[in-house]
Amino acid sequence: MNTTISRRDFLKLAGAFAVAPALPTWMPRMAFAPQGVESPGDILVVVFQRGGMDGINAVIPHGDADYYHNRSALAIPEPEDGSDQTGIDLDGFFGLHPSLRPLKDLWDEKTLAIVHAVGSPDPTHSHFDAMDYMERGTPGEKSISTGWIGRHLQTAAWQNESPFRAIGMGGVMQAALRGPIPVTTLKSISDFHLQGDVTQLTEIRARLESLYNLGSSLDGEAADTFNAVNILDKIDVNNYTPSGGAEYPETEFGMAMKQVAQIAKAEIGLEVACVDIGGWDTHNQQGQLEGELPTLLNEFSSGLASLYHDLGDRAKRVTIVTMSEFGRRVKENASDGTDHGHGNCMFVLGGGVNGGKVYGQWPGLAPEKLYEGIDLDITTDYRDVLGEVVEKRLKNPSLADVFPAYTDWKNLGIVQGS
Amino acid sequence: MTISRRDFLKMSGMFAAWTALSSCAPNVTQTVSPPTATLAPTLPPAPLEDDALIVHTLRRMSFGATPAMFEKARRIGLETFIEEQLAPESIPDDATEKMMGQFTTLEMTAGERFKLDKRGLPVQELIAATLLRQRYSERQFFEMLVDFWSDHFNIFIGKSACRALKTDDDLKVIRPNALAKFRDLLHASAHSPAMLVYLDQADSRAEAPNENYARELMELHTIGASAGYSQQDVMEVARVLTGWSITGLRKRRQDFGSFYFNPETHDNGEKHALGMTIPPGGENEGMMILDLLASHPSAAQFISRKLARRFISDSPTQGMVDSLAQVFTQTDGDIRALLRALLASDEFKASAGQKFKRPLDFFISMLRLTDATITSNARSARRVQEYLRLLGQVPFTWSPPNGFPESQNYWATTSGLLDRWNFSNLLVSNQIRGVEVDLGALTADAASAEDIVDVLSLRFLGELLPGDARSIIVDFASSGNFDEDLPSIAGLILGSPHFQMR
Repeated sequence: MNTTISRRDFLKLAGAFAVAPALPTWMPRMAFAPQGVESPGDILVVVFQRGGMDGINAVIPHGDADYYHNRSALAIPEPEDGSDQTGIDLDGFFGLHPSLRPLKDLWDEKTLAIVHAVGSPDPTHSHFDAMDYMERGTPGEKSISTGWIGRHLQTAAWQNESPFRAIGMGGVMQAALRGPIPVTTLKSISDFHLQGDVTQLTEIRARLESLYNLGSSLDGEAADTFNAVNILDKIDVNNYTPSGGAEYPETEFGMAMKQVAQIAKAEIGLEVACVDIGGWDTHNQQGQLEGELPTLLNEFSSGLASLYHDLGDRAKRVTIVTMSEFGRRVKENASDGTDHGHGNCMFVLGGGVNGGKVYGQWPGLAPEKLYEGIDLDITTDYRDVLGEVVEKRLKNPSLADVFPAYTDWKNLGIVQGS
Repeated sequence: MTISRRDFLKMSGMFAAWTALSSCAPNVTQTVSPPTATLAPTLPPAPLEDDALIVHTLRRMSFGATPAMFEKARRIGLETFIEEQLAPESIPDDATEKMMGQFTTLEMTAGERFKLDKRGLPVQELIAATLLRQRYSERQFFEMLVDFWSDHFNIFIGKSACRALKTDDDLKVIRPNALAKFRDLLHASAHSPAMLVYLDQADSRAEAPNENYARELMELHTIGASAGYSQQDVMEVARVLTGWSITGLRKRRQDFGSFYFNPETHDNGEKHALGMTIPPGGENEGMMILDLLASHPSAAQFISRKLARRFISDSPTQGMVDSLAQVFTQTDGDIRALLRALLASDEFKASAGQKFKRPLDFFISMLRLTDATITSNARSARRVQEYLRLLGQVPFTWSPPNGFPESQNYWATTSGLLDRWNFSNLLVSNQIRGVEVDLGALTADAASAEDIVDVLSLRFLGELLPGDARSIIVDFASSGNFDEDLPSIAGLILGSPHFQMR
């Protein structure tokens, strides 16, 4: 798959499309208690990096000499104090790409944990299969049509009738959310209302509701839509100012993260938000310290850090998890890019995270240590990370339902809780 | 649908209104349709079942079946109509072709286009040309197929040189081969400079083959991920294809943008892929692989299923797919033969109303069925494009190589429905600048709230609304002044679940 879309390409395209997104500005905190019993657990924010992030250039194993042997053009230099042209040391072995600078404070505060050599054990190098398996939570198994988050919501012991219990940012529903619990997809809070002749809006809406109550396959989705409109109508979205000095990137991803913060603060029953960030399929000219991948890493880390800071005290009850369908080939290719690989890294951020540590066992990048001789091996199943978050932070013990057929659980201790 | 004689006559009245209207629209309809004033007396009353089948079939074959299309299919018979649509070059389409004249970049070489790239002109014009063709072309089925193959062989127009090259892919690869043999289309796509750039093939060379195109060639273009090939196969096919590149890749001057096989970057070793030993043979090695893939039983299945998903339902039966795959095999992948078999199948005939319109289907069908006039073509097409962007489907802007999704599950979301309700309302109340709808003309003969709802339903859906839905909207139309409320009434029909399906 391509999506080696440079920032330049993106801006050019954006210009060509005359993008003028209507963005919400300010939504004061308001109490809007969800019907049913409130979740005892954290709000979960899942960020999916679509295209396959180059995990070993994001969190560099600078202590592994084979990293440098494999990447003459792309490797990030070993950390040097005070330099922004080298990796940022984390623990003497791993370091952050300098474009992930916004995450360093969170690492130091011990609210950010990293898991490395992690991923889905299925060997596929197909983006679509890999994403699909990962989001369904059933690597190698296509017979289960629901997603892991959908099953979590379904099996949680509490009820929450809010249409904002689960949201998919960007207007489409992420496969992880599939299941019997309704999901609201959202592009922009301020645009989420019915338009038309104002003197007739109430009437029109009533008729639309009747038309979508006649047994069509769209009735459920329409009911959720009206419900969501009702709630967002009561929220003033003008003049939103993020807290904590947060400065969201002015990108689709940044705006999505900002709206997640607004919805979390509005207390309208949010439990899970899925946010996508695309463009990680860097086969060609991915860039070392500058360029396509560094730009993306910066957008990604600014978005994560901004959401965390913006949430302030609430961040104690929020867990943010990131994932990508696979990592990239250890050896760079001749186009100064990287091809589809296997193992990768994940970020776990939040008030309940045992941060400041890289979790997992590093398999090494020596030729005999590589998966199929070419890729970073996976020593931690991504379900171990998610399972622990579901159990300890979301307070749902039904892991056998959320991740069926997975039994080989390892407790990494990434997050706090029973 | 069930049409009574009274309804039928009412429809004939609508045809007259359509003809009167077409003077303010580009003169597309009149060039091919005989005068419709004499329609009612001369038209043999078609059996009702046949008429329902015509409505269903035309809705699937087009971005919105207009009264003129129904009239024609009834007159010449459905089978003949399908055959005519399968031979698009036989259908006069001068008015649409004339509109294309304003898009100067369609006539340019890739090198000339590249110079204009900074202004975004080639991208803008190709998208606008595509939208206008979908809106106005008489060759509706052909445009549907162009849309289908543009997804199947997806190229993201925003990726680097694709901004200048996708135009050639559209005009020289997709359009000439949209109804050809699948093998020809595949070969053309594999030689398409835009595809080679989009999937990083143009850079691939012996010392470091880039697997991106080789993988998607098998996974997405031909045999599908479940066909049982290995990572080793992908790597070997990537070796086979080394050297498949384009001219002027680095310098992008006058000679930029043609297919070029570079023997110097080609891997001359023997390869073993997909159970075949491929002796050194330069470009021919790749031709062998393409032929193998194009006639592979898994490709017959994969392409058949995809066509069935686009034109029948999101989950066609295996039996349906098998029978199409058989046609594929027997005809060496003849796309016309596949479509003929598909439209004639019982499964197709029983699938009325089962396909959710994707955003492009939805929006273009609104424009066609409200007979919206796009007033100043290029600029207005850009405004249309802005709504499509919000809905999520501007042609050629899907960045991963699998093309815009086909399934209802993907598109029928909360924000997706809300946008549809809102945009249909904006359109019929003439709040989309540069696009004009004359609802008064569409309902000229209607004298009551019921008439208005029925005339508009026939116009938008090709059939009357079912009783329960009809009475909801009639009730609304009767509650006020139905002339003043026309936009709201039309908006309700366009916003109804019935209009979201095809």
